Amino acid sequence: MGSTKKQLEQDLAELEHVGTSGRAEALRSYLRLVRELKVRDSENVTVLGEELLRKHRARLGAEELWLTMEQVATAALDCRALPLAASIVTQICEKFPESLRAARMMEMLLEARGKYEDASKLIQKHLEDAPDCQMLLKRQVALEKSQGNVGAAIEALRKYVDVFQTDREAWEELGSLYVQAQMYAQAAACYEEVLLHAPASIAAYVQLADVLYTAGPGPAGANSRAARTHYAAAVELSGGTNARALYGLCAVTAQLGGLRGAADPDGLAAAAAATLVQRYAEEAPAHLLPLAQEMLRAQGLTGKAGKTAASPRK
Amino acid sequence: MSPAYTVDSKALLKILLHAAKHPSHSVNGVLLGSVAAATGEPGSPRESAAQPAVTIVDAIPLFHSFLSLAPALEAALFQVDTYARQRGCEVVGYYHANERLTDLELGPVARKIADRIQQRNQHACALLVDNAKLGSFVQQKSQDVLQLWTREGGARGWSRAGGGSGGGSGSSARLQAAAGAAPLFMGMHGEGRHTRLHDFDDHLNDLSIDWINADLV
Repeated sequence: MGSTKKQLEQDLAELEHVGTSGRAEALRSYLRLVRELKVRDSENVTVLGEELLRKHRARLGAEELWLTMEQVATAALDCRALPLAASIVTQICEKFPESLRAARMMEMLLEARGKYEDASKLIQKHLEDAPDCQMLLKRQVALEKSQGNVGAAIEALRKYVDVFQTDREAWEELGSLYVQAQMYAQAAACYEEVLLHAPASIAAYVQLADVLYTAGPGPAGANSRAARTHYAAAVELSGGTNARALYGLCAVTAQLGGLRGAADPDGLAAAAAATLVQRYAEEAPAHLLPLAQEMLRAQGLTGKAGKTAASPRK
Repeated sequence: MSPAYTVDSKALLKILLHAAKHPSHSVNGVLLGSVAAATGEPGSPRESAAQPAVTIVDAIPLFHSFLSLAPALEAALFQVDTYARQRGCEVVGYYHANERLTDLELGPVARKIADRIQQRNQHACALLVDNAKLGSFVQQKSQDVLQLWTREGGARGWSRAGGGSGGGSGSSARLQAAAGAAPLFMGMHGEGRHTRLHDFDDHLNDLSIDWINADLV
């Protein structure tokens, strides 16, 4: 994650300093990097991409040209630079009149303009010939989301995952929609699917645990106990470096048994608290440490002020 | 009781910078300030009922993803509370910006979090970025970019000040936002200040990140 940011920052810095002769190359390099890393940096992509297309179009081979145009149009839609987006989308659709990928761009443009009925009709029309087109099925969900119809978006996406059961991204999106609708039991089921497909993903463990914790203790504390297991797994997988997992373990232990570590027979939460304090002491700005410490104290997981942390983890 | 709320430019700018940094997400945070229980001025046209005056001096950005998940939210609220006490001020409200441009209401997730804050401070308000006014604000045609929501207590939930929807009696609270914020904000946005604002969400991903943003504005 850190290296992604760094690479992008380097490319952007290069653009600040490069002279006119190197500019086209620097622009191409940056846009290519954004495509590869699949980052959403729409402000920069719109401005820099527009420049590349306006001044240096001739330098781009056919494949790079259309990839770049698709990229810049998407970013322009994201920034609501609609005239620019419309101009590029028109060119794409003229060049590739039969393409579903081009149809997707047109749908996004219609949606951005608020022409929801037209967008819906466009999707329906193409789905008739290609009912399994995942791209367009997902646009249907997005279209509902755009209009604030969370319930309809959930329905459409549920139908989708019934068919495409291994689409991790879809399960994550469905989970996040359920969270938005505050339907935490259903959200948890989705994040369990994500975990099935990504059993070594720290983020997946944390996300599921967060949802279970939010849902409330559950019958006989079942949710809390499950959350605790997943937080513990995340702490272990991350070697104690994931702050959300550490915080979560402390919180769920407090939820399980009140204070005084009654629900922490194996001392996991106490160790997590100690690790957090140590991480804050080592990494965080100084004024943030006492804020975290105060909280852990209130949860009954650390001693009085001045006591040193438990022996450092390796 | 119809409280008067004043928003200092520092708080207003931080709210807008937070929203600007994450244009495709909902964002939220907490308002810090103080409450002064004012009494009616002698001879004033208002009744002599006490009218609290709430001054909002700072905004602490919390989340731009999964705003309602409990562990991170509880940690943030606890730590902001500690910070506020250290600074000699209080948590006096909640702010929120909706992810969809056409969404102009304080939604259920926002209300739930605002409830928690209002339970600890009866004068707490909620400020919602008014997406419909963003256009004229950035063109510097209008200063008005926040909606004030208050909760009168009891069974009635949150209602918008200055007239709610559907003809119901909106809250009678008043909002005074700092003037001259629009050109300041546009200048800051132009130089990328919003990219240097960091919220509690960012901090959880990287503990070296400072979510207080003390010197940003």
